[in-house]
Amino acid sequence: MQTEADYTIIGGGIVGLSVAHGLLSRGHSVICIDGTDADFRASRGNFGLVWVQGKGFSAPHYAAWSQRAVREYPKFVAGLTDETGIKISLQQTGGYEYFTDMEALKSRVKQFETLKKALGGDYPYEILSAEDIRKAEPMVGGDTVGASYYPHDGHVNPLQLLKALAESCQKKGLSHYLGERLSDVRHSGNAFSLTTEKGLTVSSEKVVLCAGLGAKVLGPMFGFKGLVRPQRGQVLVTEKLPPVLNRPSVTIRQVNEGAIQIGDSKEEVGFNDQETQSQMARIASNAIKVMPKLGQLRLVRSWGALRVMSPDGLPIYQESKQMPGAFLVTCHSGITLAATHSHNLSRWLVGAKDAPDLSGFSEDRFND
Amino acid sequence: MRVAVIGAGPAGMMAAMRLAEKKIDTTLFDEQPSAGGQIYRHVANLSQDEAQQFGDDYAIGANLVQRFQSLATGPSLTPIHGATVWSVSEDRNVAWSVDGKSFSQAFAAIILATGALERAMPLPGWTNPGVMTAGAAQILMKTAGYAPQNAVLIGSGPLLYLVATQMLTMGKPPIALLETQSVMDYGRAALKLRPSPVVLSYMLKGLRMLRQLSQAGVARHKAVSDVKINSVNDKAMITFSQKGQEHQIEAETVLLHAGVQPNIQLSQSLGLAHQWSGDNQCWEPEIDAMGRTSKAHIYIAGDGGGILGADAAKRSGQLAAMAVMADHGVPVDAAEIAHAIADHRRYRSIRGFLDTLYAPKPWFRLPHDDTIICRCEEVTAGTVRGAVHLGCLGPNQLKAFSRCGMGNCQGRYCGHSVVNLIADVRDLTPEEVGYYRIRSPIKPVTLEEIAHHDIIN
Amino acid sequence: MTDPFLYFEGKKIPFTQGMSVAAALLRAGEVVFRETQVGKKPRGPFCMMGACFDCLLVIDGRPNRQGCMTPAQKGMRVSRQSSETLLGDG
Repeated sequence: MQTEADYTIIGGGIVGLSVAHGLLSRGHSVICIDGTDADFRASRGNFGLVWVQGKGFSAPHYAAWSQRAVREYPKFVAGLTDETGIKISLQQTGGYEYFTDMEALKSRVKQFETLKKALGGDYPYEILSAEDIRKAEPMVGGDTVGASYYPHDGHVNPLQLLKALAESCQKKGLSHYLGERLSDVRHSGNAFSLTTEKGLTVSSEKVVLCAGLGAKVLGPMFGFKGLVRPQRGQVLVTEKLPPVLNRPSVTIRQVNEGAIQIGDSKEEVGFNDQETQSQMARIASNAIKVMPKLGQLRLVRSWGALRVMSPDGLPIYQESKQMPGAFLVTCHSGITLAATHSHNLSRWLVGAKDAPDLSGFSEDRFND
Repeated sequence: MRVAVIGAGPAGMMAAMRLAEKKIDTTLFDEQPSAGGQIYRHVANLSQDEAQQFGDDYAIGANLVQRFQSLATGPSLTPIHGATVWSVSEDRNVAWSVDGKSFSQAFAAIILATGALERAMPLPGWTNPGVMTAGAAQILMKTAGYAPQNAVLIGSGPLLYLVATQMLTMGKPPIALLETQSVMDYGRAALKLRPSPVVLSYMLKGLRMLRQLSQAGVARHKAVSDVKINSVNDKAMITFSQKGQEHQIEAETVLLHAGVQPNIQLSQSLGLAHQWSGDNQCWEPEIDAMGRTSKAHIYIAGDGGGILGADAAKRSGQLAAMAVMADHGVPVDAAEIAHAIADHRRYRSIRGFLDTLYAPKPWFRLPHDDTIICRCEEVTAGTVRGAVHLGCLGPNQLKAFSRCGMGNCQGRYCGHSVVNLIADVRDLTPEEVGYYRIRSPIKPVTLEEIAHHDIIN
Repeated sequence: MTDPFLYFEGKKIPFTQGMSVAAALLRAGEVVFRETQVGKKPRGPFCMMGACFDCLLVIDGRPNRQGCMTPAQKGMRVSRQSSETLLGDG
């Protein structure tokens, strides 16, 4: 393992490893400083959605970025399987959002139309009637009045993805330091020298901060605002079934191993990832309203996890003005963006000519 | 003020009775149809003679259960049998399920008395049908009145001999015992012997059992290792090593036992502080002499706080009840508390000897790569080791990478195996490795029940 | 008076009152209760105290019932659990 490289990435979750993968694929040497087993690790607590629908209503550039991201997925996943032999379950045949309230559905259609216009018509959503959605998904019934559908949405097994990414990066020569906490940053000229609490020192020309909620404390060490906050989401996981759901929805999906995962909540409770009886009841109740047969399934486990939320919910991509060469990469949709974080974000990090325009995601938008 | 006691074994019963005697409203939750826990399981349903078959200690349990049942008819004690507690929140809301319907209720204080589980003994073939724990055989004898036949018992610990002698009484002598402890273990354990009535009583009981087994001609193979079970046509072919030689023995039923550990599902799900017991090689809740935990108003009594046996559990139930009272403004006698604490401490005197003599052996603590570690998700030791090499620092990363611990039993039978394996590969202590994050529901419960559970005020 | 019985895979299995389904089946020599989901391997009871979940059976149409925690009842219809749960009509 090296202690000197072109890039040091802080954080070895889905975002950090996707970025590492992209840089390693471009021939750069990369070090990753990663935290501990007890850290919050949003990469372990997410819904696995590869999703466009519902994003960017007030920020069309984010919708477009997500559209691009899901297009990159098949090649990305196939490449990882080729490199590691690890099968990654990926399905991209569209996804739903179910509605039990007609007014809410109508208001969603308005949002879609506005966004579609802003994207020059490139937003192929569909609306399914109560009858049509029941035909498309036999489990749906109860109070469901309709559903929205986006054909390029889908889901992936996020744990298989994470495992394959870790192995692929390892094969490509990543120096991956585990169980570390950054304590000191020195920047002089073209080099960063980073020291951890345990006394490990690494140096690199560039640093990419992908530490999720850690950006709040670590960000300012590099001159970033680090405006991230935790937002709790709870998820229920049922026993395993034979395939009964054809496509995922934003709150209900059947994973490849057979269990049905049901979300979610959006709670502002600080750094608390505890599951609660009241939210479990609410999530279960809402799911049963849409799919009555879910009621008879047994819940095997539940969990809570902390999303990494910026003030407007969009990713933050920023090069430090105080310490050029340091980059902040953070988002709550690390799964959806994994492929593009590897393939396209890397262009921005290396300063390539064909780098995407990410100005809409800079920290400047938070200037008041 | 209303107090919840979870578990109706000796600790739970004593705690609940103590509180009810002081007219404190107490609800006792237990999964079984009648009180007794595992050690006194079903005792109320047996005649005196039937109960005596399982030994004096079990028969004594009948008195305790009877006293409990008569107090339960009074106004202060509400037992809820057949209740599966699936969640206990930090703010002391207990959620439980009875007959397919769920309820939740808030309590001023909670005493966890959920007892113990047998230590997992992962070895090749341990997941085959016909392979059970020694405790399972004991439950069959107590609740169904029969013993498995043509059984071989494998492992170590007092329960191994107890179950073997109980099987003799039921007319189904075991074929053999395969014992894992060595001569060195006896030597080391002897150094830990302390002269006390508890130790003397234990030793006498143990010697009596060994004599019974010897008189019945039950073969005892000592210092065995590398046990493998191969099941062919309803028969188990067991191979094992002894003094460098390989041996074979055939059986219909295989009974494993490698000691007993506190059941920490609820205590972990509550985020209570735990400490690693080097003696019993497992995580135990951190409790004070009266059973107070790291969270106010939550207490632990009985083997769930550390393995000391049924008599200690009874004492510890009383102590937990007194702690609840002391902490909630009900007068308690300081002298009585001091006496109870001192009495409870006596039961520790045998532990050094037992824990040293019957310490788990490396060949099943750190099994071969192709041995299944996680029974539920069928994950092998090799997969676990591989995941650690790939960057899994701890049990929770491991869960994510391998699904180990994600199945129905939620880590009950793989948690400590995983801790041992990770510690071994990473050259760490078990304390440094940690444990699975345990979440509710502690036992599976339907979405319908969760969605529409009644909240009792 | 003869023992009551339950049905397991079509066979009549006698039991005495108070026995669990698992105990009744084991006494009748039935040790395979289910097939695992990942490797399709046969499993039977392990702990008999509701902790290991290896004794899962389909009882009266409802799957994933712990045989060791379910008291045997006259006329119960019990069958082995295949590697996947099926949704009932209820």
